Amino acid sequence: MGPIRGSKKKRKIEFENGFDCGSSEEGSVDWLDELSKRIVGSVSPSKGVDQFESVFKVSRKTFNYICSLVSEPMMAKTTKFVFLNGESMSLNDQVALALRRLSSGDSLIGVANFFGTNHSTVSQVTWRFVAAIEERGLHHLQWPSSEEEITQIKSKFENIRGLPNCCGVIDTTHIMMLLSATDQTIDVWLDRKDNHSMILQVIVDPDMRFRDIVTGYPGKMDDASVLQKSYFFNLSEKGKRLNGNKLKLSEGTEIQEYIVGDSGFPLLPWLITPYQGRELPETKTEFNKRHFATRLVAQRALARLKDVWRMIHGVLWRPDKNRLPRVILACCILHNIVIDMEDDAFDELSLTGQHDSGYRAEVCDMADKKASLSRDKLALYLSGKLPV
Amino acid sequence: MASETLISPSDSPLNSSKLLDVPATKPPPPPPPHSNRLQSSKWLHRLRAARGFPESDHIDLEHFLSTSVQKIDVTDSPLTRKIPPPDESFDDNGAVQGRDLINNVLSELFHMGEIEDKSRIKRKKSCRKQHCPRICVDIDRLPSSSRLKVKQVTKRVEQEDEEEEEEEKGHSQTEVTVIDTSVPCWKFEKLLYRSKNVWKVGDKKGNGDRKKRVNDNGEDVQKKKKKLKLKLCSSSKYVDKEQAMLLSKSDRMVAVNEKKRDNCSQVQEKSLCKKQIDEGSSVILIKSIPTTNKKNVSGVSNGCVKSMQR
Repeated sequence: MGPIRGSKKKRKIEFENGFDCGSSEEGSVDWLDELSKRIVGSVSPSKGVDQFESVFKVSRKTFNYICSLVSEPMMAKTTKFVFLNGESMSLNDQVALALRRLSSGDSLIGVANFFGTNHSTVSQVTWRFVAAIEERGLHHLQWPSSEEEITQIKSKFENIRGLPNCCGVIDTTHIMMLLSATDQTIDVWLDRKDNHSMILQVIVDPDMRFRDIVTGYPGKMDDASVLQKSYFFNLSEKGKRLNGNKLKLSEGTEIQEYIVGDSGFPLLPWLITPYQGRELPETKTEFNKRHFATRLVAQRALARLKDVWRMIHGVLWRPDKNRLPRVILACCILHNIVIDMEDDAFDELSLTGQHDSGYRAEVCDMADKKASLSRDKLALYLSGKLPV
Repeated sequence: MASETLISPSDSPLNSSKLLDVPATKPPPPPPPHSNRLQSSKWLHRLRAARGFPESDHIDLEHFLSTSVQKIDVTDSPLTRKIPPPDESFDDNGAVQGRDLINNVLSELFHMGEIEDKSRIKRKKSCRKQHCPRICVDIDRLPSSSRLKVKQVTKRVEQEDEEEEEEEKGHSQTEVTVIDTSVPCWKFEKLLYRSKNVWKVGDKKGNGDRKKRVNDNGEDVQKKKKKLKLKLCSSSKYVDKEQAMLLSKSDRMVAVNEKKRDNCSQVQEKSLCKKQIDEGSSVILIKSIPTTNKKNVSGVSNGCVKSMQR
């Protein structure tokens, strides 16, 4: 069904003004009013902000910011997307559609019906949005570059449960997929819980912001292998990352910058894992408690990611395995944007710690001598037993 | 009952005049065998005449092949000019040679079974060029210090080759798209090799992104390699430093549980080993061969001189 003659031009003018209006409250209310007439379930501006946030999972302020971020790459291409009634989609419409697709977890047809368009348009608009957000929004997902930023992070981590000089928490989660039985690589994607999945490894700061992600590796790989294949590992091993100021714990005892991770990761000078085994001495038990409490930040961040951006929450039906990592990246960027915008919607959502239900922690027994000594000193320091 | 339903060929409606009038169903009248022979020979004769071949009763290919050369000899063709003037002994040999020549030409064009390769026309020799040319150095002519280094290089190259072969043989391969935000160029097409719990990552061959391969700092590896070549042409310190680093690294890693170590540490050790091969490149060592032996190992030192001059 082609666009109605004349209406396209009219809509184009509306769009040109519409985007400008997007930044102003009045204009965006107009747009929302139009959209609410079109979509099933009607998101009416009169019903308040809450409903908008429940549908698109971002506040109006964040929505406008995302629109401004992706406007150039999304509108650069000449292809016009239309609703079933022939009206062309404005930038706001496209962003709303893509956010709905990523956040609802509904099928293409479900989202298409919701917006009054066809599933092919939903797919194309979402993909264009993903490409645009990764092109323009990647600065929201990066390792802290300034000294000030890293100092702030360390301080916040210390405030959680006292771990000094800690720069992040590393964790992994599985993005589940339902693959075709004819897929020749099906075995590689089969993880330890007999699900087909893709691994997402994240390093999180105390504000639940993703600072580094690695994704695309198959579920069969263990956490340690994914880490070892990452550039973060390379950089840290070469002393090009986590190479900031050492902290003096006591006379002659210093601790370098590090991140913390669960027992699935190797114990390295820059990656501190908990003590393993039962019936540990008090200092070690205390250390493990603090360690676990600090690690909760990453678990919550991943749970929030999957909770809000539900497209990667459930089991994806035969996804394109080359495109899925990019969708995951887009979701992570959006997750960070919501935090960076200090979105109220973010605070109101419930915090669950479950992101990988049913997956028990892996155990990696690889340990570095020097790291083992550092951990002992850290445990003594935290229990106040380190000789001054 | 059965005899009623059976129709003899003479009584068959197909032979009735009515049906024979229909051109579509009319079978061609069987010509007498003799006239057929005559007709076919006529067109063959016409064809032969048109092509300038003498008329003959022997129209089979074998006979043609055996006699054509003799006939051709008579004509003034460019082929015959090279053949020496006929004499009594040559006639038979010439015919055989000509037949072989044509047989070989035909066997080149079509699959005709075993034919002895007697002629001057031979199959193309296989390409002499190596797929991955290596520098050939006469070790005996080198001074003892260089000799040791060259041996190390060849050993490393062999190890590298073995690893590559292993990768191709026993490992399952999977193409994956990996996103790693630690690098400015954050998207990669990778080839995953798996052998039980050991994973190896390689770059996808023939991929356009290969040109854009970046290292840990996000720098172009190709460019960096070139730079390294130039830089290390005059110094061999790099190798020693690298080896020392590797030694210290291998000392550092301690396994707590021997059983479970295999899963994780194998990956690391292998990657370290690979790193050693990658970074302690063979090129670097060869570059350090003194230029005084330039004449003896011209291939090596020339390359070095060239890159230094660039």
